[in-house]
Amino acid sequence: MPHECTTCGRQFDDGSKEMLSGCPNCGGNKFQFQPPGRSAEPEEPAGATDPDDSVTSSQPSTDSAPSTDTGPSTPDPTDTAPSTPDPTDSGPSTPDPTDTASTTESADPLSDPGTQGDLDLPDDTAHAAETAGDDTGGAVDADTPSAADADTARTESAEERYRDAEIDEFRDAEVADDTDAENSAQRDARSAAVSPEEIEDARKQVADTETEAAPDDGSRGRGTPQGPPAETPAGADPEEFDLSDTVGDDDPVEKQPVAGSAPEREEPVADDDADLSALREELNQQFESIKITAPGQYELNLMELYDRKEYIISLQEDGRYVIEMADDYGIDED
Amino acid sequence: MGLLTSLKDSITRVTDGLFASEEPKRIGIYGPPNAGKTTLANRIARDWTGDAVGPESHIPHETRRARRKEGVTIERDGKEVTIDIVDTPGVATKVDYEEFLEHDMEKEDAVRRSREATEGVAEAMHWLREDVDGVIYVLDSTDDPFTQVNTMLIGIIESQELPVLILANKIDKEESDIQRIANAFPQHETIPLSALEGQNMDEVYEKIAEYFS
Repeated sequence: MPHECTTCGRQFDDGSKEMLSGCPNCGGNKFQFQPPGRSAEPEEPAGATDPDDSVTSSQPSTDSAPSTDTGPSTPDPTDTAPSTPDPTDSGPSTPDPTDTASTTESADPLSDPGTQGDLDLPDDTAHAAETAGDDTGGAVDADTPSAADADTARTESAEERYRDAEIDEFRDAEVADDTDAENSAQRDARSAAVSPEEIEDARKQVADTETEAAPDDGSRGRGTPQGPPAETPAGADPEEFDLSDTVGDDDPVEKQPVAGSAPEREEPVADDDADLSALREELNQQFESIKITAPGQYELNLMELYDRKEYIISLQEDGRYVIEMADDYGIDED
Repeated sequence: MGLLTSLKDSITRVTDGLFASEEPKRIGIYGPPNAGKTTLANRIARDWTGDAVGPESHIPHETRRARRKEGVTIERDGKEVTIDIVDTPGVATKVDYEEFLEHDMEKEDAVRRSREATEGVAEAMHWLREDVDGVIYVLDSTDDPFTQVNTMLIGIIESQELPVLILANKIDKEESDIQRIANAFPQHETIPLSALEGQNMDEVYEKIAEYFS
């Protein structure tokens, strides 16, 4: 119900013509357009914190790596057995562990498809590679024992992140094989991957997923965490998870209720430019006689305006609009 | 003085029947922003009623609500025609607040003006469809008349079979080019004038009487 009377709170379906001659309830002519996907409280995107997490978690491990060499201390704990492989894992086949980590963290399975994997992959990889390179020297990278040292160091952070032991088991085998090849691949990837822009993009996408996924009933939840881990890297294909499309093309979803009926609510559209432009687009599709290209900037379809017999709609920048009934038209008289 | 002579001739050609109107016709003054519509409306109203219609300004979209002056009786040679003049907001396909910033306007005011102007255009279009019996189409003769707005509006007016008088305003300016307007709309008579200076208003009144009675 994306349209809501700002006077009495009555809601109308998208595309409804019911309110075009005023609200049937109260006769009000001011309405708020509320696209379904955007009415939800914008959650703190899980993806936004994930990259940071992985950054901070792997960086300390970098420091602790040398210390473990001299005297094994922190990393030793019992959990090393199950989780030792993981860190190694996080180096080469990063997407899997990080993904699982992020899924558990975000506690929102629908929103974590591959986007985060996409995001985390290069990030982690870079750090893992750095860790190895900085501490032990480039040559050691390929060296399994020293890598293992670094690994044990990393278990500290790993134990926080990888609570799902089962998935780890799967990867044990792969990891060992991948290590060598991955390291060189990582180095290649390192330079290009994870530019700040990419992180921002990914965050945005994840944020979008968050807001979209809830009302969408999981329709976007392919590559869900339940899927086999091996699937995740594939799912991390940026094209597949290019959510900017889905935001733009997303048809209003009926089942998403407008949260609350407070007439003065504006925040859903206030802070996100992308959302706002998508909102405008949707509005313009419905009421194309007046198109808002930016606040204070309008394009008018004169023929459309001329053809409207009974009503004229004026749009406002924040998604509100006023329907002026023909009766309202008065000419200022002297 | 040849112009005046021909004016007089034209006036004498007007028959009694043309002036014999039963009800005042509602005549909409249309045109793009800043063409001088309100200046014309004010001049007509002042000349025949002593009152003005609305404030004039060099800033576009000064008129954002239609304004009406009812019962303006214009007399020519002892004959008279009574019309209601509707001064409408300038019609444009784009309204941009940045245009107003150039006129020392605060952004907030400019944005509001922009929105009001947009609604004004909507209103003007509404009136064109519903409530006018004839149109005085005012063009700034220093501007290129070949615009989407002019073409579309004249097309609509023609399709409605409304009587239309095309005025080439601002002939007091050097850059004025009356012929350009005449060429743009050869199917209509073009009457030059300066609403600001009052030039050629006699012919304008004569044509109003002729077209809208």
